Amino acid sequence: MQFDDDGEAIRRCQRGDIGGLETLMARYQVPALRLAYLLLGDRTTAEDVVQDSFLLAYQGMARFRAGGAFSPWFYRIVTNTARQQRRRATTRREISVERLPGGDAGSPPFARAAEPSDRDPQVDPALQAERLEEREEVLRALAELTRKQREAVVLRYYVGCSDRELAAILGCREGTARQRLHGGLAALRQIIARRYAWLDVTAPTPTASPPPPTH
Amino acid sequence: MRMPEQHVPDQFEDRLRTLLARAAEAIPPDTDVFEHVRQAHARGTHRSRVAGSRPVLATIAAVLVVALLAGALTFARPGGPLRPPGVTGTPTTAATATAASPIVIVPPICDASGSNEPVFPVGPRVDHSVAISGQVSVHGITLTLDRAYADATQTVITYHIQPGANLPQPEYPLLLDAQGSRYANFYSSSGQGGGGIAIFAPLPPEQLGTPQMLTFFTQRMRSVPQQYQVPTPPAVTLVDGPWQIPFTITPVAGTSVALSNAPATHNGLTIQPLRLDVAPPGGDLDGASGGERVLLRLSGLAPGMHLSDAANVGQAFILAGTASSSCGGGTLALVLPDGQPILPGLVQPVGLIVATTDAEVQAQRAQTVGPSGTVDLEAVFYAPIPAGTSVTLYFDDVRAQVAGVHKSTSVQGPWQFQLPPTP
Repeated sequence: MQFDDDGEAIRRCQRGDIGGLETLMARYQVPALRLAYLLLGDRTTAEDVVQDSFLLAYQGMARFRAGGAFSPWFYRIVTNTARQQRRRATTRREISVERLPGGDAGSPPFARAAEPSDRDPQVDPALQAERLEEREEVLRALAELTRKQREAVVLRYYVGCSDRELAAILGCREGTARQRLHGGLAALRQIIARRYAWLDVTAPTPTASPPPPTH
Repeated sequence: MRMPEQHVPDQFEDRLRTLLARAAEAIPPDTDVFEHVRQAHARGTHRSRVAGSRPVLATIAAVLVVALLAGALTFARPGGPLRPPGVTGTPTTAATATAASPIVIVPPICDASGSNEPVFPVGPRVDHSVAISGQVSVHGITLTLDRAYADATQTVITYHIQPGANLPQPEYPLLLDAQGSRYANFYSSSGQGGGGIAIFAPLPPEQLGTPQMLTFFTQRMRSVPQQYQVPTPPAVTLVDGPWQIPFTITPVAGTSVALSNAPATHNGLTIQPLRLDVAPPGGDLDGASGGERVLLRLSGLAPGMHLSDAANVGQAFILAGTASSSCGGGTLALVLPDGQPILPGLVQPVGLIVATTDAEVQAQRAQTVGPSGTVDLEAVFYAPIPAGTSVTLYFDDVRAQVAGVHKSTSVQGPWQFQLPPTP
């Protein structure tokens, strides 16, 4: 489903009202961030991608087809922007020291921007450690796919796209999208079986977070 | 969005959905980047990886600086009180990694408390960079090298690009030496007007102190338009080159000491420091005031473990006006006698492919630990150590796959080594 009043928010954007973008961001930024994170494996880069994507969407809203669904259009922008993002070997957070009050490149002390907590005090530490390890290995396994396979797998199995939606977001024919998806899924089965076999336990586990908004 | 009705997902697909959903939870549901977007929109500019382009993080950092100044930074010591950095404690005594070694606990860089932000000592700022000349134009984009400096911790180059509009910057720049070895670019930035800086992994010790012919190389230039239009892509313009400019520089030799510390083993993983290189002040081109490079050997790893996973430790630096830090599976640090840890700004397995293309990324991911189970790591620290100071090399725990274990786990240490006094 699409939020009923996406249309109103879109029309506000088209009139140059950035409040419309705020409305859309409130709805789509977290799923978009999560999509970008799974595609890139890096939270900071994912934030960059989503920020850029919303700006691009806002700038291009005049061309948005009235009555169309926002989420696939926007996820296409996110996916395309993620392709262009610079890969980084490690997850780095960069902050301009020059912008700190009284700061310059050689003036300690400096504080690192807080990384979002991977540790929730409400959750068993052992479970948290296991989840962290699981996350790292899922991202590593995804990183071993080709970029096209990874996009198809994440859009299908995280966002929940149909073949048609996959094709629209990836900018290819449905048959091509299916090929990428099946290739990616097969590769992922092999990668997980070979390197991360412990991930492939089939006992169902409840998902704590809601699925991303879809149309 | 709906799944095709005729498709019946198997157990693996169900499991994959769950795994992806849980992995995605790294992004908390209350994340809000609207203010970033609003500010960028107000500036009318498109943001790229340019130093000084993360105002919200800068704000966060400023808040944390205040917290630091308020004494929030603490280093835990067993059996003793918490103390802030800079408070002189009992100097550690010279020893190799034995039970008698001083116990140093360095809090992990990504501790959620935010109370362990890294700080870096600084020394005198001396600029020993040299002017280099070299210019090349491709498709109307002219890259000119300006200055360079090299030592045991880095090779840094400044350049400018014309035309300077649209924030042009080299895409995946590389440094190559006369033998064809490639050195990774771990930091670069470009500013309005086309000026830029690129910092590369250091040359090996045998290339220090003598003139070296190096080449600055980038296959493509990336430019981010000031005004952009949808449809996307592209939001940025990539112009194919290559641009490559050779230049000669004599890297500052500094000192290099072969270490005699005995190897230490915990839970099947053996670590031994092999060499300490010390760079004197002189790299002020990017604000560096000296640094160190330590060569370490890890043994007991499982053959087949990804080579790139061997460097899974927190890293941090302040260079070129930018502070950068990354979480890792463990903490590696040089610890000063007063307890202040210096985190590495760069940690890389020796022999890891420097990847700038998709094919190279895949090749890098395919690199694994060999049958010997041994990997050498280079850890580079961008902070000076006072002459005559003996520091402790500290490794708390290592996320690694040790021989006989089927997956990566947190291998508990700590491994500690008292290094000889710096010259």
